[in-house]
Amino acid sequence: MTPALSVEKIVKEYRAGRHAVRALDGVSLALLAGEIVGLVGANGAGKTTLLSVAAGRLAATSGTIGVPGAAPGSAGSRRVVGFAPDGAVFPPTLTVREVLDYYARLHVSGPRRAALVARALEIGGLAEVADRRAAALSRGFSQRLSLAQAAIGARRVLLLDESLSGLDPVARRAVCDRLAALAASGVAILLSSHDLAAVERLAQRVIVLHRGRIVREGPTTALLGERVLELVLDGPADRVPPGFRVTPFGVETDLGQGTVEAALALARAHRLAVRASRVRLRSLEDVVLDALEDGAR
Amino acid sequence: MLSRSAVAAEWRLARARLIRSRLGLWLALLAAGLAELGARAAVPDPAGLAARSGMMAAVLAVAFTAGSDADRAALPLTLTHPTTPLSLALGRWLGAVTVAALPMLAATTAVGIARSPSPLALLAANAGGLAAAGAAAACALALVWVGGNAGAGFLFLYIGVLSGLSPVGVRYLAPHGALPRAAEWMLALLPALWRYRVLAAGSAVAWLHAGLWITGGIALAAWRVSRR
Repeated sequence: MTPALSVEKIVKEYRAGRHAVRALDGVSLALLAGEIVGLVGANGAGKTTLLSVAAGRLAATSGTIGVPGAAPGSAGSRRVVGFAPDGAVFPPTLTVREVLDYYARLHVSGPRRAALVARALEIGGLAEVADRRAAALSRGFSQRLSLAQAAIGARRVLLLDESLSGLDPVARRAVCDRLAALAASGVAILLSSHDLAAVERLAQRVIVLHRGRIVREGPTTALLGERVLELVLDGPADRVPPGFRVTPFGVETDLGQGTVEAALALARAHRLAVRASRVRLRSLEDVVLDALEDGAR
Repeated sequence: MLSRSAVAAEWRLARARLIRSRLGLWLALLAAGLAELGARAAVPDPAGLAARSGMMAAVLAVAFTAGSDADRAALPLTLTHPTTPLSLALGRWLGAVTVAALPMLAATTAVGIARSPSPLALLAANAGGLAAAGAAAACALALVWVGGNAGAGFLFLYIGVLSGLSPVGVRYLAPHGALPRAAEWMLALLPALWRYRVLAAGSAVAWLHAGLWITGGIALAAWRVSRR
């Protein structure tokens, strides 16, 4: 299957005074049609730089960006790849509807434009603020307008930078539903977010970026499939058994191929005063923190 | 390279600014002030009035439609859509010139009614004023996309205060010193009232100068946007 967007060995270097800072260090990924991929990592990991390069907003130092049927950086590729930056700035004095109409004019002309604007308003859930000045919008609505302009026209790839931040729970759920609907219609979405719960729910695949490199990548179900045994202790552990981690309430361990009984026996052998135990699946937060620790080593 | 619909999208932004920002008020004040000065002048000078009002209005229009921090910050997002830096620059320039034509026409018409120069002279003056506005708008566009509205402020004051003097006049008034020499160079190179006043009379050098500024300024502005 041909990827909707392919990123090959992207390197991006900035000059910071006399030093060159490598924001991206040989990043490669492919986005398939209809797929939502979560891009996670700590602040400064290179997520925004990667999205900006993929959107053609920043030039890469080396590497290639591929969009089927369009030259990299061409108007053709911008016709199919949409970018919703975090904290987007829109042309001042225009209303939300006029902002979308302004961008729609860059895609189509004539009566089809009105349909594009209506569809973008629907994707962003912006009907109630359509006639309000864009500059006066709250952060949540501004993020939704950013998403709406990214999805305008015949965009087959969406690059979303923190599009879920600043949204109240109801709006976030609505935006997640719209993103899922867009993906179901064949749009490929690369979503950068610190909202790991939303990424866990939305993304079929997760990429963990650390200091400009991909340190973990895989299907969400595979990454989250591992079991964790949590032990609540009556007091602090004097000796932590090998493979266990200290938590605020006691200790925990990844079970891997082992059994709960074997792990509990190991805990008893180390004289841990176990009050309660439970088995849970790993959260995306666990996966990301582990990946970042591995990447830092 | 150039898309007609993209140029039109940029051009349309000027209308919203004219109505919803203070641009309309400033242009009305400019037109009224210059028309008043023109009507009181000892010798009617519709060509000078058209060039001055066109150029000053064009710089104001660029400052309000392209030079603000928000306008400049919005450019990178626009460039993630199917447009080009040249379309963007051309559209904004066209919008600024269209807006600048309004106070220019108002001022020359008011003076024409008061001092009754011939309709042909008024027509020539307005054509020259439009070319002068185009050159000033292109110059201002390149300046604001390099350094923000400080560039537009400088250009506005330069056109209003200094640019009526020719380089020869500066040499006559201040024959020595680095500052007058810099002013001479500026008056020779930048769009200036002393040069564009003769556009209406058909001066080939003035038309060439304005034409070069229009093409060069738009190209420079487009290049600057492409580097953002």
